Amino acid sequence: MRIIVVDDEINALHVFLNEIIEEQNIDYKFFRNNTAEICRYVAHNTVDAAFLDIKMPETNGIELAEKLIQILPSIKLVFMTGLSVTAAELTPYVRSRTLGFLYKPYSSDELVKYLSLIKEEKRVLTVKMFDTFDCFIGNKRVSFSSSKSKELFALLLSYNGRTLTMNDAISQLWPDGDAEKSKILYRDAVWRLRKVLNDIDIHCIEWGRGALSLDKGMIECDYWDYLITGKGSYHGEFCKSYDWSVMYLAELDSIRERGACMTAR
Amino acid sequence: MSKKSKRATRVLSVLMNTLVVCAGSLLLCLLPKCGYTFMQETDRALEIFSLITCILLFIIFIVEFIFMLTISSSKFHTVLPPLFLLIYLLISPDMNVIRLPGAGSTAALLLESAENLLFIGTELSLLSFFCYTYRPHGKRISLSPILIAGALCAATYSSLSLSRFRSAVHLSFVIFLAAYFLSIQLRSYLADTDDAIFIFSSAILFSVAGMHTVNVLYYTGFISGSNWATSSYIWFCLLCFATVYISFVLKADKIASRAEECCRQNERLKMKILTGQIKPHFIFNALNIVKSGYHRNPNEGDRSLELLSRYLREIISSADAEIIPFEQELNNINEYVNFVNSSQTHSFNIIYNIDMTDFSVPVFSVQTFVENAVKYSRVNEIDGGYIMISSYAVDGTIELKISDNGVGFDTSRIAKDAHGISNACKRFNILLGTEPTISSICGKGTEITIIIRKESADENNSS
Repeated sequence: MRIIVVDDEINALHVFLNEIIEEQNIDYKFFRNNTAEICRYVAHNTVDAAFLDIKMPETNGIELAEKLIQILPSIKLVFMTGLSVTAAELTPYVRSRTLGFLYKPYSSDELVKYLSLIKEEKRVLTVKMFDTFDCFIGNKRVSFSSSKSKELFALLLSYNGRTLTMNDAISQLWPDGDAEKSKILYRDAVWRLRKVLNDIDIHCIEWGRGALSLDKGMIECDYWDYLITGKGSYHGEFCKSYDWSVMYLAELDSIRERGACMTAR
Repeated sequence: MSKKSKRATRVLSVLMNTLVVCAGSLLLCLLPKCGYTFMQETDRALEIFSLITCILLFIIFIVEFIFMLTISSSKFHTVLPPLFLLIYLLISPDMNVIRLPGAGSTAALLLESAENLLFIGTELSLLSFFCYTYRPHGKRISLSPILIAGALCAATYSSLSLSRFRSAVHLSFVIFLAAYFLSIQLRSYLADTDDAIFIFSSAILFSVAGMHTVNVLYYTGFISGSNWATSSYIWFCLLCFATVYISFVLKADKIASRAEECCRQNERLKMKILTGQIKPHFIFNALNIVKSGYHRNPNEGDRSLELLSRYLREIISSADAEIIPFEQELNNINEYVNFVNSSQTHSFNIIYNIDMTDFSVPVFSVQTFVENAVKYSRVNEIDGGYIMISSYAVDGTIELKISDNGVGFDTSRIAKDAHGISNACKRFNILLGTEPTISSICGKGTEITIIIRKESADENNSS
């Protein structure tokens, strides 16, 4: 994968280099704002994507983008900007090739997100439910802002597509609490879960009032696969440390035994 | 009364005025000529003419009277001039409404004094009306010279027995009045050249004064009886009067709409100042947090810097908005709490008890309350301490609550110390028409409740 990075400020290029230097399989070339040179380079090399600063002294990043698209229509664009520019301010022509915006100062997570978009990796949430429950985007673990919101998500996933009502969730996550207090904690967990999933761009839950339902399309879950194929790394532990998880063990154990019998035979 | 119906009454009043004046002018064009020929021959014609004039007068003044009551901000000042003028015209010998007693009798004397007093009253009420509406250089015009002169005139009047002296006193009062009014007019002309109503008002004052002069001359025996000339003169005065009222009404309408516009601009400006107040203190606190983060270790510094810049971006992109969706405000709060927690050893436990999100709040308003709780409640030092944001629907309204179980504070100190809080309350008041209630018990915590009407929430969402 080959990318070019254009920014008139040497500091900004430094920051970009810092973030990208450990990434593998990426060829990168940095430019300050020499339009002619950039165009020549793009014309003679197969460039997958261009990271462009918007406000530069000689040229404007958006105008530069238009030129680059003319030279190489397949090019993908990411704008790096300190301003709060949004896609709405781009011409439709440029917008159709724009993956998004990196607002300075950006975190490495955001940059990695765009790199995976350039590679056209399918954006899926990988869920590991055996042993301890965890979610991943690529190799990166998703961090939840509260343990209960994580547990709620685990519960919803173990419902395997069935709708999870508020009463069900409360009876399993806060079995001993006072009813009003549990509702408050439930709403808090829902809001936090919603925030986390929104931030990582995984829109897989329909947030009904008093009920949650899951769209399984964007999720790869080892538990679901195990239920269908009987293959997976189940070693007698499922969503460890969650009280309600014991209910699922019987079914999982029976699948494992059936699998063991099959291989024995 | 609503703005729309007020405007409608104004328009209706102008229309009525115009109609009556048109009818009057038509009569004025036609009648005096016939009246003139009739009048040469018989008193009957003159009586009929006077009767018609009287009826029209009545219509005009009743209309003015009723509509002015509903329109003007000061009913007293607006209603008095037509009232006075009506009575004045009714007893004026020109109008032939009352049969005049023979010259020199007691009845005639009484009538004369009544006419004179009413004249003074009419002029004074007219002046007070114009002075109330007009303020050249923003100052109210003083009426005291006219009052003194009027009192002097009335006093000398009752003490003089000779009709010539009486008329002299009156004429000098008229001259004084004219001079004083001219000086006001000159001042206002110098201040504001575009003041048509002032010219009209002087026209009325002079015409009424002229009418009075005719009356005085009649009483003192210089002229005898009414004739078409004096009647037409009254008509002319009437027209002037109606026109002034029309122009006043039109101008009042213009002033009202300009005032509304000013009000809106004012509020917008106030909002700018209010939101502006929030930022600087926050930014410096935040920079301090970043600095302390870097002191501990560079990664922590990086993290707080990233959080801060995300937060600042949110602020700047929503700075132009006055109200933002509640969900966005919650995101801002979340960024803020994450940022603060990144630097604290005891982090804040914040509970999002959110059941409703489809409404809007003034930008950074809820955040101000949360910020305050973070700074003063000390919930991070208490075991089981929390800050809770709740939103739920209660009988067609949305109840938004920011509560904590921290140390609490004395609510009577809010006005003096907490700019942020009073500021946020003001914005809730201006933008959503609701007043947050703050209750705090020392040692038990603070609760801020904001009740937002559903329709105001919908309105703001749709706009």
